Formats: sequence, C-alpha cells, structure tokens
Amino acid sequence: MASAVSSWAADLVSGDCPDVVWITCGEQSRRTDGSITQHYWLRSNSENRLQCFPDLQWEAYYRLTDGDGLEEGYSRAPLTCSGGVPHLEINCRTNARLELTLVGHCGGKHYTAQLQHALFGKASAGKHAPSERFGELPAGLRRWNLKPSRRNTYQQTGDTYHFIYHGNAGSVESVSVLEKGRRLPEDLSLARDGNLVYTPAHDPHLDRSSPYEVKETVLLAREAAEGREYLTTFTLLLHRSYSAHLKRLHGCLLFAGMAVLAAGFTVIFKRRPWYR
Amino acid sequence: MDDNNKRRARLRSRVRQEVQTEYESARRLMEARDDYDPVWAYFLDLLMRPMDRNGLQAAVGRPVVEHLCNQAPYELFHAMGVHPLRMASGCFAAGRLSAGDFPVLMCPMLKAIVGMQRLRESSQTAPSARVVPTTCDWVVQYQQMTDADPEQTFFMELPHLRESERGQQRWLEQAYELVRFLESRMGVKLKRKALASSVQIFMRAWQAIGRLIEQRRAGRLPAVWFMAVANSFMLDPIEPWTEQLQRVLGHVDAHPSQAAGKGVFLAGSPILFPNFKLPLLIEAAGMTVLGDDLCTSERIWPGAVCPEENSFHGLLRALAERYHMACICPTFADNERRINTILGVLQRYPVRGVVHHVLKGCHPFDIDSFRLERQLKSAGIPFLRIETDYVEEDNRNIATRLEAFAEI
Amino acid sequence: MVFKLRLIVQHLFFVLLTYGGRFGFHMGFALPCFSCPFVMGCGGSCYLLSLQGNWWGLQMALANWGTVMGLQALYYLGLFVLLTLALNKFWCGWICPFGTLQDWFTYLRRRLGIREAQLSWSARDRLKPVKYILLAYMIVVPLLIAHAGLHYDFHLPFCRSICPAKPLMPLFAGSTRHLALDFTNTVTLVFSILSVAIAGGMLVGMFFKERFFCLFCPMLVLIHLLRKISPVRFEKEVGACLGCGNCRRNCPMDIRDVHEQKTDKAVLSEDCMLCMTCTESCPADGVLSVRFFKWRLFSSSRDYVARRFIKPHKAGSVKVKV
Repeated sequence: MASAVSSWAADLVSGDCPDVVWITCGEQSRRTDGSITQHYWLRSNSENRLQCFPDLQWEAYYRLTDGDGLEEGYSRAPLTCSGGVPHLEINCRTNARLELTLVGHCGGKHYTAQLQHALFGKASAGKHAPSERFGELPAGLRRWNLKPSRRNTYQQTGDTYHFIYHGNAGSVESVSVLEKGRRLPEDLSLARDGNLVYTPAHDPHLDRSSPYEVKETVLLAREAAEGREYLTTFTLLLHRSYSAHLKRLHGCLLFAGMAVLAAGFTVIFKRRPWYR
Repeated sequence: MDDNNKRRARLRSRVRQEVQTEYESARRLMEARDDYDPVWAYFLDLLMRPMDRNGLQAAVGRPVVEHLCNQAPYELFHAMGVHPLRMASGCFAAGRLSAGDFPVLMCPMLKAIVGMQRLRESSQTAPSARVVPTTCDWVVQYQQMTDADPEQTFFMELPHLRESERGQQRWLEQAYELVRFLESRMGVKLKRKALASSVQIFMRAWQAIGRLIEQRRAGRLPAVWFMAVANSFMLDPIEPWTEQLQRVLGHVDAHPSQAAGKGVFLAGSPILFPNFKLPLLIEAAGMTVLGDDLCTSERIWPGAVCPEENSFHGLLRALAERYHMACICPTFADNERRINTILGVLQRYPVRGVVHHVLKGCHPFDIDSFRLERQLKSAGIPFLRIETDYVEEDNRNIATRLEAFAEI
Repeated sequence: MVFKLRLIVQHLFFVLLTYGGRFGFHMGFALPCFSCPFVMGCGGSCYLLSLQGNWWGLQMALANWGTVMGLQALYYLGLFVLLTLALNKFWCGWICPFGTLQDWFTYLRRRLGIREAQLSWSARDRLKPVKYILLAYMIVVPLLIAHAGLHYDFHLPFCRSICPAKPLMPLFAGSTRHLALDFTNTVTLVFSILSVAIAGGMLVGMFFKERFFCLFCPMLVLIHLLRKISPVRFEKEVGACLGCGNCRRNCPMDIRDVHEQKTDKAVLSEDCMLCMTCTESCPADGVLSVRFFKWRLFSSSRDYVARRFIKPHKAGSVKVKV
C-alpha cells in the first residue's frame, strides 16, 4: 500500500528533501499478555531521500485514549531505523484510540505526519507504558485536527470527515489527497478559517475485501510562509463503509414478504386439524 | 294383547316392584348405619332417582342425554344445555328382566342397564340421545342389545392406544364428532364461552371431590358414604350437587369418623348403587377402604382439565385428553400406569393391601387383575381377587375370604 | 403463583438486558441466553457471540493456547459454564429476552383467539437435530476463517445469517439497521437476505407456535450439555404419574419426554426451558418437582392446579372451600 502511494506521489519530488512524508501502518503483533504492538513506518514520495540520515530530525508524539477518557498529554516514542527506514512501535494494553504525530524538518521544509486509529489491546489490566512523558505538542506546529466521529470506531469510505488545519490557512497553497487507485492527487479547497470537509469515495476493492482491510489515504497540506515550507499529512486508514450499502427498504420488503409467505403456509398446512 | 305380551307386562310389573324394593332396602341399610347423618339424605335421595326418570328429568330441568362409561366429557353436554346421565346400574332385579336374552356370563352391569331401560320403555321420558364410548366388548354391543334408535345413538370410537399420536388425534376428532352429533340432535351451537364456563363449573366439583378423597384417605370418611356421593354424580344439576358436597365436607371436618381396622385399596370393576355389597363386606371384615380406582367412584375425576389456551380447540383438546389419557380402564392396550394410582396411595397412606373386584363377565378387569396381582405381590403387597356379581348368595364366602385377608 | 412470578422475572430481565447498558448495567459477554449484543445499550451479551467472535471464540482459544489471549477466550467459556451451572435452563424460560418476546406473540395470539399451529410428532422429532447443525455451523465457520482462509465476511455466521434476534431485538432500541439488506458484496448480501428472511418467517412461526424459535435454539444444546453437573434438577416420580397428559399438552415446547418417561427420575430434556408450566398443570401431588441441590423449588400438587386453573368465584356460581 505504502509503495503504491509512493509511486503516485513520485512526481512531487523537488530538491533534496521529500515533498510528502506520511505514516503508514505496519504489522500488528499480539503479545502473550494480550497487549498489542503496532508498527509504524515513515514513508515519503522518495524513499531514498528519507533514510535514517542523522541530520533528519524527527520526533514522535502519541497519546492513547481509552474508555477512561483522555490521558494527560502526549507521550514520546523513539524512532528507530529499520532497513534504512524510520520506524516506531507502540504498545497498547486495552481498547484505545491512538493519535500519532511525527514532526521533522529537512532543509527549509517542515514536516508533520499524523495518523489516528483504534487499537484493541486485550491485556487484562494495567495502563499503557509510554517510553517518555511529554506534555503537549510543540507550539505553532502545523497539523490537522480531525473531529472525532461518535458513530464509527473505524474510519470508513463514504463518511464525511471534518478537519481543521492548525496553521496559517491563508498561506496554504494546496490541499490534496493521495490514495490508491487515483493516479493524480485530488485537490481540495481549504476554507479561510482552516476548515476542510472531505468525503472519501467508496472503493469496490475494499467492499469485496475483509471488513478489516484498510486503504491508506493521505491528506496533504502544503503551506509556504516566512520562507519556509510546511508539509502536513494526515493518514486516514479507511475501511469499507459499514452502512452505505445497507438497503432498509429492500430488507423490510423481504421481511414482510417472508412473513406473508410463512403465514400462508402455516394457515394452509400447519393449523391442523381444521375442524372449525 | 297376546299372551306373550301379557306375560312380559306381568314380569315387568313384578320386576319394577323388586327394583323398588332393592333400592329402598339399600337406602334403609345406609340410613340405619351408626354414622348416618342428615347431611347424607340429599345424596341418598339422588341415588333413588334412576327409578324415576320423569322426576329426574324435571329435577335437572334440561334434556337428558344418556351415556355409558366415563370417556364422554361431561362438560360438553353441560355446555350444550343438556344433562348427561350415566346409564350404569347396580340393580340385580333389573338385570333379571334382560337375563334371558343374553349369555349367562355377561357383564351384570350391562344386563341391569338393559333391564332398567326396558322397565322405563313404556312409562317414562326417553332420553334425547345416547352416547356410547366403545370401551369393552359388551359396551360395543349396546346397539344390538337394546335395539336403540341408531339416529339417536352416537358411538364414540375409543382408540385403545392412548400414548400414540394417532390415538390422541382420533380421540380429539371423536370429541369434535360428538359436538357435531349433539349440535344436530339438540339444534344448538356450542359456544366457546359456554364450554369455558362449564369447564370451570366441573373443575370446582373436581376440587371439592378432591377434598373429600383426602378426607377418605385420611380415614375420616367411610367408603360407602364416599361411594354414595360418587354414585350420585350427575343425578342432579352439577352446581347444587357441588354445593351439597361442600356441606358434606363441612360435616366431615366437624365429625370425622375414625378408620376402623386395616386400610385397603379397592380396585377393579365398577360398584354401583344399590349393590354396595363389597364395600360393606370389607367393612364388616374389619377393614377400611382408603382409596379406589373404580370408574364409578374416584376414577370419575382423574386428572384435571388444564387447557393450554382458552380457544375452543384448546378447551376441547384439554377435555378430550383428560377423559382419554387420564383414564385407566383396562380396555386400553397401554395401561401400565394403572398400578401407579395404587402404589401412590400405598406410599402415602396406611394401606396394607389391595382387594380387586371382578364383576363376573367383566373380562378386561379380570385379565388385568392377574398382571396387577403379579406386580403387587412382587412388591410385597397383599392382594385379594374377589370375583362376584350382583347376587347375594356368595356373601358368606366373600366375607370369609375377606376376614382371612384382614388377618394377613 | 409460579407463572405470575415468571412473568415478573421475564419482564424485569427483558428491560435490564435490552436497556441496562444505557444505565451502566452490563452482565458481561457470556450470558446463556439471547441477550442480543446488536441492541445498542444492551445489558449483557449472548455467549454465542463470544463463541463465534474472532477475539473471544473457540478458534482464538485454540490458536493462542497458553497465552493471555487464549486464557481470555477460555475465561468467557468458563463464565458461561458457571452461569449455566447456576441456573441451567432457567436462563431460557425465565431470563432470555428473546424468549419473552416470543411469549408476547403467544399472548397476542391467544388474545385474538387464534389457536396454535400443531406440529406432528414426527415433524417435531425431525426438527431436533437442527440446533446441533446450527451449533456446528457456528463453531466450524470461524475455524475455517482462522485456519482455512475462508473470507472474513463469513464471521459471526450464526448471528449474521440465522439468528432472528439480530434483526428483531434492535427494534426495541429503535434501530432498523439489521433489517436492511447489505449490498456490500455477495457474502454480506446472502447473509443479510438469509437473516431477514428467517426473521420474517420466524416472526410468523413465533405467532402461530409458542416458542417456535426455541425449537432450533443452539443455546439449549450448550446448556443441556451441563445438566448432569448442574444443581438444578427437574425430576419426576415416575411411579406416581397417572399419565393424564397435561404436562405434554401444556408444554410450550411440545416435549413428550416428561409424559412418556416411566423409568428414569431425571426428566430435564434437551428442549426443556424450565418454565415449569408442566409442573403447574400436573394434578398429581409431588410427581413433578424442580430442585436446586436438595431444596425443592416447586412441586406439582392438586391444590396448586385448583388455584391455578379455577377462576376466582363469582356471585351466583358455586363456592368451593379449599
């Protein structure tokens, strides 16, 4: 998936630093205590340029929200180099929502890569174990804020997502979407107040796949201000829609039809003996 | 009138007199008992009614439909505004009127029934219809014996297998057939509400008789009085009868008699007024009948009508099953549960043995008594078979055997 | 009166298990009754979901033997066993909300004066294996998903393609979602067609035949497996039964075994749901009794039948002293 997105974004490369950096989900592994470890990779439109060079400064922040409510602040996770690609892993003990933000810069380019999704840890008790406590995200960080959906645990195609861009919305040159199956990025319009509404289209391939199959869709904002370029991505892990393909009228008609059929059958054949 | 007819008329007149005498002497015998109380007078009056059908008809205030055996649901008749009257009779004299026309070893009850009918033929109100469940071989011959009007007679084909689906279905069909027969005969339509109401009325009687059975099992009520009450069932409208039963219960509560001698269980062929000789002889031998499975006594009310639902079908099904499956008449092929009634009483009450009454010619009970004897004796329960009919000549012999049995 | 107490308990649990979650009440995920987890805000979840579930099911226990995950899957099984041992078939007759829903249909039918549809004995016997087939279906399909590469859309096969509680029970929480056909792909469409069609048929079946769905309920099988070690006993004094047939006729499940049993004391049969209707209608003292360990909870009696089936005295009719 990640490489697919990379190839479509390849023509966005300019200079020595990559134009697009985003987070992709790697494997999940379950520990014997039931907790889950999720692996993440940092990808770019030019993987050669996003290797673990010492001068590439990256910080990873995350917070897990479980049933008890918001944890206080963000935690830091160490980025390691695995196969030449930046990588991190986060362990989750209970059912929780993860908000992951990676911040880095290269030359005059400032990158923010974000991802939100649910993790289902099954450890019997205990809190998540952050590697390092950290307070808030850096001040003035360009980032997307996704309004949480009350309806769905998973992000889905066909749902409308409301984003707010934290930065200077007026300086945003473009907002685009990169997704599998679309050769060119889709341009979106950001409102002056930073609001963005995005509804990912249904994907027949996803519909045919498992309900847990995801498609990475990356939202990219390109902002130029004060001689710097801010490249902010948000990775949506889209599942197929759970409700868009439901046809209630068809179902109700079938339900009523079967009921009438069964009633007829019962009256004619099963209410015996039919003496009176 | 030719000689033959004159002779018949004379015989009928003589027999009528003998029947009258038999009934009255039986009543006097009951009234002469030490434990007689005016509370019993109502039931003794009722027991005299079979001789006077016109009086009975006037008393019940409904058309009378005669029936044989216990399988025709009383509630059905009652709900259709007719009064069911059991034809069974224990009158020896009446049997003499028909004895010449039938085999010697025929069921004396059937002879008495035919005799009583012949006595009534000329002078008394005929029943509106007759309903005959086909139980034993004698009963199925009823039509031939009496030359009854086939239009007026409905044979309920009794499936002799009760625990099979087909048997139960067939019997339910028969219950529906009976409804149709009565509807066409009486010109009324059976309504669900009427049936539900009748079920309630008879359940109240069942409840009261249950109390009386308990009193009797506890030894507070002599068997002959219980049988007198049981034999009078449906010789009056059900509601006043139940009301009188309440009086009896009050009386027994207030004046319980103490059981004298060993308790025994009386099983077998029906015992009918005025022929109470066996319970009286058992009493004379120093034993008390604490329970019985006679179809003219406790077994008039086996089981209970507990409908699954109060629809017409639900009520009729409950009635059909109550009168079919709960019956332990040995004419059924699957009757192994008959012994359960006996064992149940034996376990709970101080009953020391079983006296089995076989009416001469009552083959089902005769045959079944041997199986019962084997089962009971293997369980260590004393068993005595008494084969007799309505004559009194064998009283001495029976008394001796009963006295010997009481010594065991 | 047992039937009145049962009505109260049934309705109390219907409310608790259908709406309890909205008030913070939840009895867990291993209930031996059809408390449908597809009802938003339900107060407990049917164990059959846990049995088929990809995270709590049998296949998870097998695949993760010895790990916390495996133990957690077994934890639900253990909880189910404990709950079943404690109350056995009382879960069916007294607690199951879907059973209560079926009883409402029966009540309605009786009020309308429509009589019950009768199944022949042979038809009734032929239906008995169906619940075993359904149980096998819900065990085998998740194993095939986990180990044989079966498409994941076959998950929760019983809930999603058979169980009529899934389309019907959420209606009480105001959701018609599960009555819809799911056109996502062929598997979801076939499953939803089956589910909705079965629910439509069952609805009518439940109206014409008391506890119709219970004839097919695989939960009965699971509960029945534990009957021998459960302290709940349903016994018959076979030597005192008169064979009147009231137990058979009144049984909502048309069970013949209680009536036909002539040798064995234990009469808690596979389809029994311990509603005790048979015991309530048995006029023979002490023939049928329901026990918990050595304690007798309820036992048949002539007096009880009189109280249960004779309506209170009305003016003008005969008063009977009890």
